[in-house]
Amino acid sequence: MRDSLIDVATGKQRHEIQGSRAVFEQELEKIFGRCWLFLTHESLIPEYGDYVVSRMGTDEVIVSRQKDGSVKAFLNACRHRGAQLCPNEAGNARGFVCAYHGWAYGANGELQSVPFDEQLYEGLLDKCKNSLHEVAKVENFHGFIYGCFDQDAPSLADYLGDVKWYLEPYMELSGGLELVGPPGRCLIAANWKAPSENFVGDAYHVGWTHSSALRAGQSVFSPLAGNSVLPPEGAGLQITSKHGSGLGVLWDAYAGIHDGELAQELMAFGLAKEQRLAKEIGAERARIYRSHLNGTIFPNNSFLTCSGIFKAWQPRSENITEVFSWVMVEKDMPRDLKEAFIKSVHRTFGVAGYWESDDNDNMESETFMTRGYQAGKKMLNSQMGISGDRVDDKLPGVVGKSAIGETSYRGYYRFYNDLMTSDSWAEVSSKGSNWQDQLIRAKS
Amino acid sequence: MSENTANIKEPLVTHRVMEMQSLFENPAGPELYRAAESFLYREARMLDSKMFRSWLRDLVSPDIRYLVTSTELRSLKERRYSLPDQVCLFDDDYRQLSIRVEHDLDPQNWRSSPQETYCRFITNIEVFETDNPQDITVRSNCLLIRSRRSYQTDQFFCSRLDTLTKQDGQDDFKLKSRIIDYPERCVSGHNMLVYL
Repeated sequence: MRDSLIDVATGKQRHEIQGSRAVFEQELEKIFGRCWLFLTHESLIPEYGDYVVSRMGTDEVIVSRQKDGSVKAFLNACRHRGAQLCPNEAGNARGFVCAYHGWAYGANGELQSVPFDEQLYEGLLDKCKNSLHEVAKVENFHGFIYGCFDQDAPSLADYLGDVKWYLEPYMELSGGLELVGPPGRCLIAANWKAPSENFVGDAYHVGWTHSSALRAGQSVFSPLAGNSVLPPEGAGLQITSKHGSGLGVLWDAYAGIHDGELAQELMAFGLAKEQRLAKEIGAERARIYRSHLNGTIFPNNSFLTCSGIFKAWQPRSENITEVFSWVMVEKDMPRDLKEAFIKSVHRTFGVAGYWESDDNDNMESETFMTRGYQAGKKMLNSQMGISGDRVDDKLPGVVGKSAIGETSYRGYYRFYNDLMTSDSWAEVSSKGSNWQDQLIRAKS
Repeated sequence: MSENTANIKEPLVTHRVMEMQSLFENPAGPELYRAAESFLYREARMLDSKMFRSWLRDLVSPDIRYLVTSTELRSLKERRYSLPDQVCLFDDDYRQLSIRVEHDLDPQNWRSSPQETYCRFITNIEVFETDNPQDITVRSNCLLIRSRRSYQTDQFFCSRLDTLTKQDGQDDFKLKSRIIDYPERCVSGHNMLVYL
């Protein structure tokens, strides 16, 4: 039954994956238990003892900067009776004390003290065996920190694979990014995959879903309003990768969804930096720096570069998702421009974002309709551009034939299917050994 | 005379401003109180009826600052972690509010049809004079219930700190600043595409 949730060969997925409790329970083990999940950014925990409480699937984790500068993550549950250890979202602490009985842990997760330890446990409580449960792996991609529960997972760099080449110009070569918190937070009645798949590769919806937003706030994308034009061939790219992460590129659209004078100032800033970068990293990658990327790092971490939105779609259940919305911004942007930019990101894609609300309705209704017994059994279509997927000698990944297509959807669900039908990372890796062929061979 | 929220310089930390006792030192007399109360009820009626363009034109001052923040949950004992603890869900001027209004009323705003309904309850109104004779400070609580499609009912609630202004020669107040530190950290109502 599991195999039939996804049909890689024809680019189809069963609707019920967007709202089935049974599928969700498997995902917690096979997707969230195995994949690299976004935790935080270096800029949010700069000093020893700084911490944030983040999410990995349905688990809460404390992500803490260690004395030696490294980062560790622990389940946010006391080892004694499992109470929530840290009720704060962020802070600086040398340790964490449970509110229930007062068990106290260090920032390194070690159990340091237990009230009346000697008298009550008579020396039988081994503190060394009661450290907080630590997340197996924590790694960093140019400041973005991810964690993974599975010791056998590939490194974060290998996991990101072909999308790294596209992300580096904006995330690293630009001089680097900071992630601006605190995040906006809200609950939407959608399965976590609905927004993740939208960000991974849906340039198609922009002109229609966001028709009103495009007209009301004049941005570089506004000519698309009401589907009045189709972006020409060559307006961008769409790519996917072995581990499901994927993205779309819209060339030179640096000001993204921002409007008015802010958009003009951003274009000037981006253009000046592109010209400088072209001398250092070559014209091709400098152009990628200034181009607008929509993407998802598999499974649930999405972004729009240049527009500056950074999202984690954290699953609460099969049909409730907590949305975390941060701003990512180039470190060297002038202060006034940065402040206007941050506010504009939340105005468009935050909790009260007028672009975001357009999307949420689609994601919620996609999930809502899985309540229909018959509808849930039907297959959904992500076949756009299916015969045009290719390997390119200059561009990493499997590349779609135009900016508007569903290549990244297909790559996302190809990997999803490998995870859901495998019992270990070894099996996942073996199934994905010819991943490019699987996608290129697919036919409607 | 009492301070005036419209004059607070950056950085504007909303949760501190909401508790600035110096704002609340000079309660207004009954006439000003009635004028402010009637302004808030009129505004609530217009927003409940989705008369957003009229709201902007008639009740909102061209120099409006409309600010809704959300404050990160931190330990009361926190001293060392120095990163900002608030995010602006709204920080809009008149032009930016107009964009929201036009977005909402656009015939291709798919979420606006069928119509959603609003019902606002404005309570706990207090009115204070400020150091500027044209401006008054008005504090109120707002409970907004939104009903969408067949099954969705969302509640939004907050305390609001407003500056209303009456320029020379004008008969009525206009909203010059609204400051809200939204109390529910993780917004349960799907989005905050409402005017509080």
